[in-house]
Amino acid sequence: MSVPASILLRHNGPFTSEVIVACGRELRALPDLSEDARHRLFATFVELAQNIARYSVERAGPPGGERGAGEVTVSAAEGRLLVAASNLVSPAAAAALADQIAALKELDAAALRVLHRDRRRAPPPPGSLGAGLGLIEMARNASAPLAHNAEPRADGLIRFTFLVPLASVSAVSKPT
Amino acid sequence: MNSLDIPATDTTPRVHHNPSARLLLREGESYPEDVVAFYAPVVAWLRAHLAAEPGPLTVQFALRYLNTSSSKALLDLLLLLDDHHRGGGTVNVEWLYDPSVEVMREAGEEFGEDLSMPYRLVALAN
Repeated sequence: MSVPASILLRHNGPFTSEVIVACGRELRALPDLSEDARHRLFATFVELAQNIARYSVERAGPPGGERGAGEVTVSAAEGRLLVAASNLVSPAAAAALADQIAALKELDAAALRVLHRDRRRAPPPPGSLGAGLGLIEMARNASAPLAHNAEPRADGLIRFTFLVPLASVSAVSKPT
Repeated sequence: MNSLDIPATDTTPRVHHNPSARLLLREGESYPEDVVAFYAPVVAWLRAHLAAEPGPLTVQFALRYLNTSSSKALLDLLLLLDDHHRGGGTVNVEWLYDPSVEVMREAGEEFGEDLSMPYRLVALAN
């Protein structure tokens, strides 16, 4: 039996720092999440929103204050959360992102941890303004593998959508 | 030595050096739009401080959240402190975390894996 997803938050437009802070506040105020799940949702939102701000081909905002534009939707269905983030990218960037998502799917939690550690110590990959760690962290926070959708447009660009599934209550903490 | 006290913003923590030889990054979180612009002056201050003040230094982190770019900047800062320790300096690092947020405890553990200086995880009382 499938229940329609309810939308908890959606923003479409430029992802300025102010927008990211305001949306983040809304997400942190959502009821019925464990503290750990709330943190993972906030972290996933910030990485996706900052990716859009940096890398989206579509720019918008006041002159001098332009940022990458796109859309982030957070929805809930059947005890799960889904964060969907879409923006326009070049075909080459879409192909590179799809390859990275496919490679991360093959890794379990222990392998993701090792990759994160190695990548954090390495210099940023070419073309990355951030640390190149965002996708790995999202894969670690997700409750199931990351997915994506790439929709070609008439102008030659691709509307690329990241789909990050998250638990609304964290798994029982492992003793260390 | 110049004092250091950078107030917290929505996306950056307060960074404060107090007279009892503690450098504190706390009262906030770290996800600035421009991570380098925020951390470069902190690292520059720390380099100058370590060169000028041979005494022990405790560095305490109590961050609510840090994004991946900040985590890379923080590792660079920790590696600078670790070099100081390897060179004979006295440095203690404390990572304070909210025990209800497993991710932040894990983040603290994972920073510790790359360091040889005294490094302690401390659960904050709720």
